[in-house]
Amino acid sequence: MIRFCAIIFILIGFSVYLKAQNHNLVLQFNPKFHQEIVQFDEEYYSITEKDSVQFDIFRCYISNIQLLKNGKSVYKEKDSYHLLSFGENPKNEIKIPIDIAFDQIEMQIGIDSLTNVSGAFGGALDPTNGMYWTWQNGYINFKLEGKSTLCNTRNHEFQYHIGGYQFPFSTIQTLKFHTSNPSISIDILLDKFMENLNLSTTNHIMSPSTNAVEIAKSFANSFILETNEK
Amino acid sequence: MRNSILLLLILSAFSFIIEEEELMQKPKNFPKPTYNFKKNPLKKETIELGRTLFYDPILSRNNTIACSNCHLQYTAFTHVDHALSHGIEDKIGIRNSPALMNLAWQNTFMWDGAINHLDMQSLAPISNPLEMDEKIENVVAKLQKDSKYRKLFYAAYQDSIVTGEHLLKSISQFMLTLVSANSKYDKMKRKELEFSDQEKNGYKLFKKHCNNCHTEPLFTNFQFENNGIGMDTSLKDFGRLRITLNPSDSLKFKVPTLRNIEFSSPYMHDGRFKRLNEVLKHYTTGIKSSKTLANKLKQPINLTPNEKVDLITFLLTLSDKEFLFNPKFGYPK
Ligand code: HEC
Ligand code: HEC
Repeated sequence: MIRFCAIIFILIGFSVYLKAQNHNLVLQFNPKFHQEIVQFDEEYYSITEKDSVQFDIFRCYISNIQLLKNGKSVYKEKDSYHLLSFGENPKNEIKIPIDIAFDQIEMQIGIDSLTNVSGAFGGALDPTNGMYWTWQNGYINFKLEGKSTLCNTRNHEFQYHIGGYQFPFSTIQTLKFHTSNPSISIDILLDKFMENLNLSTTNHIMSPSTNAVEIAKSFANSFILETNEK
Repeated sequence: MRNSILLLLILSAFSFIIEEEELMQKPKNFPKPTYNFKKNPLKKETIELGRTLFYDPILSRNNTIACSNCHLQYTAFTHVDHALSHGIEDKIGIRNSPALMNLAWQNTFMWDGAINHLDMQSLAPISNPLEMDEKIENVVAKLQKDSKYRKLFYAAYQDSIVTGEHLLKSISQFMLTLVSANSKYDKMKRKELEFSDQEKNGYKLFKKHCNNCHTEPLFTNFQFENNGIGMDTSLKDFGRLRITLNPSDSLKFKVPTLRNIEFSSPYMHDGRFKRLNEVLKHYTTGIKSSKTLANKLKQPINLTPNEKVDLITFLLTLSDKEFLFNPKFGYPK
């Protein structure tokens, strides 16, 4: 009996060791502006020639990561909630220790409605992360803040806190990419995203609304597989 | 051997049930609670931590305002005397603080349902600039520095690291224990005593005119309704509309419980009425018509002066002194 247990323990230990060894699936997210990786807090960019844009804060939830092969789900990450954060102390990589063949990856931008109504969570979902609305409950799916000469606001600031999980203002978005490469680089084209926004009129969104839904859709369209990958 | 193990299992299951009942009353005349206790199982130490936090102004920016400032036990956990809540540096809020009780049966919180889960409730007053005006991150940092709290968090979670999740869930645990179910009404329902004729008549009138919104045994149906009090133009509060942005929700507010109503004056979301007879005057002759007025209130409610007295006599049977003076809910020793 004891010997049997010992063998089991060794096997478990070994498999844990193996798992820790292969960080097989790696997702990397790179915010870009005109092909350049965005430098936060310093660099100025321009959408048209006459303006300037600067980014201070950019954080975003990625959730429910799933792998598919021939259209069938082959892997779903458990408790799949990741908070990406750029700028100071960036966290722009998600590593999942699995080794499974796939030809498509799916994930969501934002937090699903069930999680939104299920109370307090820890880790990436802990409300101390500053990604939770306090006056009207719900996660902020993504946050982008900065300054632009296009904004006729105090200090030319813009703030997009995009969230909302309830019909008809649900903002969660699904991303699908066809790839079989376990090391995936995803570009977030902030230039494209900012071009679609009308910064002079829409520069301050802090609650669920039709506008927030439109912005969330446009945001999802700015996520693309890095081109030299395929 | 097998049998004794089985017996032990059964016994421990029983003791678990008994212990739960000790932590929080589960009244026989109530439906099942809707709160998901599996995600936040009640525990003596965690309730105690939550209670300590509820009574501690450390949750506010300048350490002056505790939850209990606006939610006082002797008035069924609402504010005394203030129509609108009174927060940090004497700032006046926009609404009357609701009485807190039987929260395990409630799914949306605030007058307009802005809060979707009890665990998330505390974030709202902590960060509201008119209430406690503090950031949850700072609260966590303050508690982490305090050796008393490190001990309390350790006792509750076997971990002295303070997290937002644990902070919120422990305050929930304390609030969940605030069960009021020992009023004269409850005792009548449980056949422990009988109503007087006057109370019986009041109960009959209540069931006819009020029960479809203030539904027994919790005395609310948890719906949002416009009860025709009309908008206070200095506050411009459209209620549920702010949350759903749907015009059909304009001027709708959550139907509040009427338990302990004797003690939770002033009444309504803006605290406009001080006495129950003013409330009855509203329901009989003061209903203001508008597009979203509840159907049930479109027909006038007629009550004779005697009937009004009887109805109020019934409302007073909803007072639960055991709840209001239970030392378990009071300031921690
Ligand atoms: C400055 C006064 C004030 C303080 C401090 C305060 N509250 Fe409140 N509370 C209110 C008001 C006002 C409302 C109703 C607000 C609304 O509907 O918009 C409320 C609503 C609530 C509700 C919802 C009740 C229901 O039936 O919908 C709960 C629960 C609650 N508060 C708990 C707390 C807790 C826990 C704390 C401490 C972390 C706290 N409150 C601190 C004034 C306060
Ligand atoms: C159509 C639903 C409806 C009916 C019927 C109804 N009420 Fe109400 N009642 C409400 C709503 C909604 C509120 C809160 C309104 C607000 O604050 O704007 C309320 C508030 C109250 C309050 C104040 C509670 C507090 O804590 O502030 C009292 C007391 C009350 N009702 C008593 C009664 C009585 C007595 C009757 C029967 C004569 C009655 N209600 C019938 C919906 C209803």
